[in-house]
Amino acid sequence: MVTRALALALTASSLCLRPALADPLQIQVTSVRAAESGPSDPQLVSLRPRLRRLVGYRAFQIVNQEVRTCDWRSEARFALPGGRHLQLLPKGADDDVVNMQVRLLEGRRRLVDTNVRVVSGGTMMFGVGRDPRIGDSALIILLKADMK
Amino acid sequence: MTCDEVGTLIDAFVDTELPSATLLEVACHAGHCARCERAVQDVLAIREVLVADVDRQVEGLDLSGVWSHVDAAIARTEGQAHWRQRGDAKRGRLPRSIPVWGSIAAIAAGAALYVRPIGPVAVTNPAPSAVRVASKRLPNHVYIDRLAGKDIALRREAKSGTTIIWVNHEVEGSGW
Repeated sequence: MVTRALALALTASSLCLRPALADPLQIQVTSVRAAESGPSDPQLVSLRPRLRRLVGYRAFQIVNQEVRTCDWRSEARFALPGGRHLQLLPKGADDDVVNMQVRLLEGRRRLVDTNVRVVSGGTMMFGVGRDPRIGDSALIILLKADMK
Repeated sequence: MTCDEVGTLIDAFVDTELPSATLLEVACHAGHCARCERAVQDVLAIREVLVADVDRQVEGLDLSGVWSHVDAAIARTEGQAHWRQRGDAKRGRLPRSIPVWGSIAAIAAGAALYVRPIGPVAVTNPAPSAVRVASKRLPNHVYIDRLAGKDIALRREAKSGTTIIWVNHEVEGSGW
């Protein structure tokens, strides 16, 4: 009886903990040019105050946007302005949290190499540039992972 | 009402703590019962003796120096608080009156921790560690298990949890 209960509990826990890898993963990568002055993209109106607080720049223009359905445990590469790339490796999911390796590359040079867990539907950002006090512009990369 | 019942109510009767109907019943009974009337008079006499004795003792007390001492103590405490606040202001600290609220907040936080199940803490530093899921997640919250790179900084917005990994790097020749 105890053995059966243990087996049942183990099965149930393994089912609960299993990553939801059957769900497709949609990745959206948006490249944004941040500048000290100028007009902002209408698509970024709602995001503008947050961007201003986070990066210090005041004007934001979308340069490139790519949405792609990615395979789990398979590397995906998104092209960014300036010969840069965002290289993603979705490793798994725990409930609605996507676990992935993200590399921001400039040519063959790794600017950032990180393992992150992003809440599905949430957005995280990468920024490349100087502080707005000494730099003219910066590149902001918005990364959104969504499990459908 | 019987004499025994009145006997149990005499103290309350003398103190006029009884409901008006009961008070009237005891008074009517004592008006017709010499024994109960005597008992009431005895209790009244004891009260009078006690009150007179206490009054005598109070009159004998010398309170002339009390208020000057109280005033001196108040002035000393206020002076200390004033200098403490000035010192805190110089050091950029909060005034000492804050700890009362701090204590309340700490008690509230402790109670919340006690009542709520203790959830894992979100990872905020780049050091590698196991995945942890906070009990209340922000929509853009990111758990960073590992972070490597040169001249990078991590910024997070408290309201939405939006996180940016910033690379301090020249954007030249980027082909905007």
